[in-house]
Amino acid sequence: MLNKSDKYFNIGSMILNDNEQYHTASVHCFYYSVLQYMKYLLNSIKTEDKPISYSEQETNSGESSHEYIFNEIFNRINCNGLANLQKLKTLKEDIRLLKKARVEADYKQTTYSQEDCLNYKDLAENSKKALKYFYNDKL
Amino acid sequence: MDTIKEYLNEKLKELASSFNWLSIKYEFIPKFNTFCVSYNVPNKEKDNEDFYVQAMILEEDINSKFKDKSPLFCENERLFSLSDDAICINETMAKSFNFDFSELHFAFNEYKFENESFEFMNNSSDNHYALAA
Repeated sequence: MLNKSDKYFNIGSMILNDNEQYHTASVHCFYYSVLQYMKYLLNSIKTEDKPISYSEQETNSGESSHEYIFNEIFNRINCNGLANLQKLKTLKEDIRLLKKARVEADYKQTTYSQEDCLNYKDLAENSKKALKYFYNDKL
Repeated sequence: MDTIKEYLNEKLKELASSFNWLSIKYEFIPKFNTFCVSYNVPNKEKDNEDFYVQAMILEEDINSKFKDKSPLFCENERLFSLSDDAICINETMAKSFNFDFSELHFAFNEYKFENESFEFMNNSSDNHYALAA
């Protein structure tokens, strides 16, 4: 899943650099890259942090399966101290915006400019960095 | 959308009434098909731990209530720009929200009754209190 996350991110970047017509499609890749990274983290964390296997994650694949992943990820984050609180808040804001943009890009008539999509790429990259920071000692 | 706006407005006013330095702007942005909320956090308040805790509680509450239709949040318009038409909430507005206007009306009438010279206020263009009343 970690590998898949990286590939989705790279595909998003390729689409973004390649053809103006397909910029909006890159948002899908950036969002799923972050979601896949979260799924990898939940599956891979140490026993004391209560990992959730991929098959177990699948059993929660209902309407709010993404929210389920978010909640499990956020609930395991140590938000003691101002720096962690601010970082967690930023992470949540970025992921929520990315999710909203993905829904608009995939299901609605909304199209995004290259500049917009570059911002979403940054959000995805920063979110993965923040997740790595929070989960570094749990793997 | 009206329900979301109403609920959001109420919750943001509650938050703004807890921090006298906080102002909040929000508006509907079609690009995201939802309301976008920006907290104006001055530099000197960036270390206010309580604000971050309270804001995250508010956001989680709204997210769990409205799910995919939930508003988006950020600080100082980091993620989106809001127009001049955005609704602005600050501590003063949040507190005046619960003001009892019937009491104001009563006090106003009493004052008028006891002070015959009150009339001049209404004719004075440079009296801001008269305009405000």
